Amino acid sequence: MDEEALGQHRAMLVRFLLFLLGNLADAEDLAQQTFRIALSKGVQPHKGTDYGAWLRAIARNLVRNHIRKQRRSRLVLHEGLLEAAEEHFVATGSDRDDAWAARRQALLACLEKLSQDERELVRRRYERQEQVKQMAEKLAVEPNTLSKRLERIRGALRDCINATLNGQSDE
Amino acid sequence: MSDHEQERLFEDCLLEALLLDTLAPAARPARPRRRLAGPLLATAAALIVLTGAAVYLWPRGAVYAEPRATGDFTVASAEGKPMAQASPLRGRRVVAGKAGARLAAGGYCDVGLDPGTVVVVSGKPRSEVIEIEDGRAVCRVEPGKGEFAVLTPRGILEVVGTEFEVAVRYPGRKGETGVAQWKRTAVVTVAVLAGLVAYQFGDLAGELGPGASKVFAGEAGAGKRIVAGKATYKPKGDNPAWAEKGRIVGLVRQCPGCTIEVLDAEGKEVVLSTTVAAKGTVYELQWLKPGTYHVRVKAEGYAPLIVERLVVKAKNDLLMNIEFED
Repeated sequence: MDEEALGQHRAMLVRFLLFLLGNLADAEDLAQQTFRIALSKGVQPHKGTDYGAWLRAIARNLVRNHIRKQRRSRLVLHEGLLEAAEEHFVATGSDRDDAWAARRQALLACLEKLSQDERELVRRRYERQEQVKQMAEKLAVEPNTLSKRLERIRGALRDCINATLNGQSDE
Repeated sequence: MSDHEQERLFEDCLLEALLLDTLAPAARPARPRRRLAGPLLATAAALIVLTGAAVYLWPRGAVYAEPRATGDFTVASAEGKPMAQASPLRGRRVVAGKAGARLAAGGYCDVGLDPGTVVVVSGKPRSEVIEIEDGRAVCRVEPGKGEFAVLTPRGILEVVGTEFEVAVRYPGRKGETGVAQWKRTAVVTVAVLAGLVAYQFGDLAGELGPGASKVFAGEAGAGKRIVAGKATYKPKGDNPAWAEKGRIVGLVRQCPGCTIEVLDAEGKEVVLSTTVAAKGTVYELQWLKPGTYHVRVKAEGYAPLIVERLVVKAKNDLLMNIEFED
């Protein structure tokens, strides 16, 4: 497999790793490692292989090693779920750039529907990547309370995104 | 874990991935041992140009302006299926009508499309890309707010705050447009209205100032790039060494005092090295015999970055830009 073909799958691979790990720096690190392995001479896909699926298989193995060491992933206690996680990733169209772009667009529209306070929490957590514990200290609330609030916000966003995407497919 | 719980976990993980992928800026939070800009390997060796993750200032709290079109235009899916005008444009094909159209994105990219121009809007927030399949586009890019690139059948224009126009034509194939044309012979004209455009295409390298233009004609090919931006470098076509050797050159930003080393094919011995003095500067590693090299970038407070297996060719500049995370 050549580098150019690999480059076309980079965005997909990073979001797949983000999905599994929930951490941008780790996702990019493992994406790099995946590419390094994919580019090495000893590892070559069979002719006709789906490159995306092949790269995700390499990435899954790296994730297994990573979560054993790091214990940071939300999937850490459910290592056996990795294959099922990939099925979900593909079933939701997240392996396709166009479907992911539509999801992003829906997210941006749904963020607008949140209250200003809720948007600020989302921004701190995901744009500035503050940890819940740090945020809770600054806001003088219990981390559990904040976690539940973020969970509710994510629930609202998830429902809104699904409704938006379903509305688009009904058009 | 029940199926329902599993589904819920996956949905939540996917949403978090979406939030991070959409909202997190290129600059990552500082770590005790900081890393060089990450996403290098994806493009390493494949392309003439490597660029580290850019660090751009973006007003906190501002919602990113996704690409939108105005004027006379129609929207289609990448496969050509007609879509509503109000559809999200990313990943879609925009065809300018008789009155022409305008594309805007992120508050820093403004692209005028001539009548009949066909473009595909791709990229992502703060890293916008348009692919011109046919026609002419005039691009104005405000510096410092994000990346912008124009993909043409002859190469890619990477832009750092400048104003220029790009025209794509297919001589002798009137009436034919679209993806099928992508790999056919094309003529790309680049004309600079403001700022500097540096280009590199195979053995061709140079720069264009305001008012200058250049035509890139011939068979279209992937992986060839034309680089447009303020920072540039001089071609060394007049040096005798140029005939049988090549260089690694590029722009270094935010890296005073860092060392760039070229290692041999085994990655053991340092063949050449240079130290970057100023904050933003152009570095040159010359003259290298054709072959495979690794590049190691070292700077205080950062883990060394190694870019593997770069292929240097005679009469070629391998352009690698380096930018550091905060």
